[in-house]
Amino acid sequence: MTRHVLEFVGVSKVYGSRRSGIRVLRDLNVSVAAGETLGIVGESGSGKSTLARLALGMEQPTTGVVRVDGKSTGRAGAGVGGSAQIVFQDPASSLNPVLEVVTSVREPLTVSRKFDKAGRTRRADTILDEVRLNDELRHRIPGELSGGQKQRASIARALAALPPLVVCDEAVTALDVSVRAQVLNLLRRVREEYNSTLLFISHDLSTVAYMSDRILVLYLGKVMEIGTTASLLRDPAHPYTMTLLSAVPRMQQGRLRRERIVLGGEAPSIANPPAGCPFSTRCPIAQDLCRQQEPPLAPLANGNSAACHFPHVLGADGRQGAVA
Amino acid sequence: MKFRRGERVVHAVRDVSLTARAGDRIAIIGESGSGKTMTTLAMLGLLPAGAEVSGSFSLGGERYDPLDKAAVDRVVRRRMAAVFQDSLSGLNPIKRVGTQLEEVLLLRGHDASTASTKVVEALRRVGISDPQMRARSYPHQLSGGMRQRVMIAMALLASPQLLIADEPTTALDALVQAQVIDLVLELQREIGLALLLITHDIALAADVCEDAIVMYAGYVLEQTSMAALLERPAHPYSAALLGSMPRLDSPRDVPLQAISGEAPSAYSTPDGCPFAPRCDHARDICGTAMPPLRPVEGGALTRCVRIDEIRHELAGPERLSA
Repeated sequence: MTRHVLEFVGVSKVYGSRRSGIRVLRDLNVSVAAGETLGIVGESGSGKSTLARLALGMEQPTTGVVRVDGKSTGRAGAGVGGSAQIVFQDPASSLNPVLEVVTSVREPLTVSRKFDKAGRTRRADTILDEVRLNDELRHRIPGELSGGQKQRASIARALAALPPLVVCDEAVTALDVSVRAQVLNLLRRVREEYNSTLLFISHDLSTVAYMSDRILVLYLGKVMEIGTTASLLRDPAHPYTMTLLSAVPRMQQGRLRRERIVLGGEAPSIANPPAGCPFSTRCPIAQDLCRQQEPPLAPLANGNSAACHFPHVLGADGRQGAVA
Repeated sequence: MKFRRGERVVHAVRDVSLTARAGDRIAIIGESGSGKTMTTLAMLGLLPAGAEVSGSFSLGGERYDPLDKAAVDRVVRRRMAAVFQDSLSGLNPIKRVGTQLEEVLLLRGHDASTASTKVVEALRRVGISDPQMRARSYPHQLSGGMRQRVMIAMALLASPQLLIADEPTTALDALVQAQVIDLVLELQREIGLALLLITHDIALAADVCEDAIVMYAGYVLEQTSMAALLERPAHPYSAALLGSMPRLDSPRDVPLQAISGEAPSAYSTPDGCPFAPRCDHARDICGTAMPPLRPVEGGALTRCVRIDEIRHELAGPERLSA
């Protein structure tokens, strides 16, 4: 049986009072298997950072349960230092500015109690070798490292104590283009080495697609579509997924020629979500039904799931097929 | 273009030449420290204090010195406009958006009585709904995408011949980015102005522009048409950048073509090609002197001294996916 490292069961998160607060995440049910990478895409306000904080145990769900390695993050002491680790966009934020990076990398090992003193030193050296920070670099303070080196150090720190789950929140966004590929390749290598389970969050769909086994598409706190990367890219069902895909620059000429789906207006505020389907106010194929009734996340023939009354109706070029 | 920092001299940009004609869409592609932003700040006459510039600038046939404030006011302000990444820094936080847009017109000698009508019209033109109401908003009351539209409206009110867009969409969500780029392109074609897109994102540059300038450590390494860059890059750095970006159709079981090492510090002044320490094709000759930009087959200009020997090994994505 598949071992699930991360489980969200009926999870909602409301900031403010239960009745009138802002519902940033609603009815989330998803499991991530050991060794799997789940990519999360969505715009600002979609709830992807809240999802990350819940997985890390930094926040508790308003309803439902979040389990990491079978243990609820709500348990006393869980989620702190032990289970999930995070790689942030800004590598400096997880490194103590006045400590040598090797000291910062050893810190989670001390907290985890999986290693004795000699084991901690050995483990820190091993993981720093893995991320290719040599003897000289690992004894520097973060301010003496370049951006790419700092991000390698924060990846070493995140992976040091062999956490069951690693959350990468825009982990390469702040890096220079020529350094990004190094860090992505490094993440792939250590993921393989340790069979790590990753939540890979980014606004850049190309990077998420490259890194992830499955992709979850969030909009205004709701899952719009979830499925394996290959089939989601080849055969997207939800108009929002198609819109996101059509907005990705293709590294070829011809924006002016390319057929793309163009949405009017701005995303509604999460504080004031529309009735019915959250995407209905901008969806090119929305019907009356969509504005009245919120579609449930339902399985599709290709094995993915989408929350749409009319999946696969919108063509990839933005033209509308027949509404069944 | 250089700066003095105490004893040390920073060469921010070296020997850049570019010409933009009406209707041109040119991308300057580079990472941080490549000199792409300094090049545009120089054109705009917005150089930081202490900068030294040599060479000549002209706009609409009129030459100007980017360090001479009066000349910049006379030549640049009337013909060039810019949209930057951080829209908040371009707007005064304690003035209403409409007032700031009106100032652009008043500075150009427009009649105050018609200014507010023109501002509302410009806001409508860039796709802002309820422009009368939005004109009374303060910058913080608008979303990032809307602020960037306001910046574009401001640029349009200046009726420029050249629009500089410096990472205009980097801070925006994917869909808002697409909307803003569409808007810039639509207006560019409608008004026939020249567009200079400054970006680190080679995919976006490819999508939008017809010509490309690839910069690294202050140098132009390759200057070419976008079609040629994608089909047959003429510098190993351009080829490496193209190969290092994940694409939607990148095979997921193959590592990206990473570029080893990091970009050189602005203080370093290598004798040879600044990319040589990271270049898979570098030989001893690359460390001796920086070669001038020279034309190669297909019309591209390149600074790679070994290009004739290695070009067949460089492939752009158009060929990779073909």
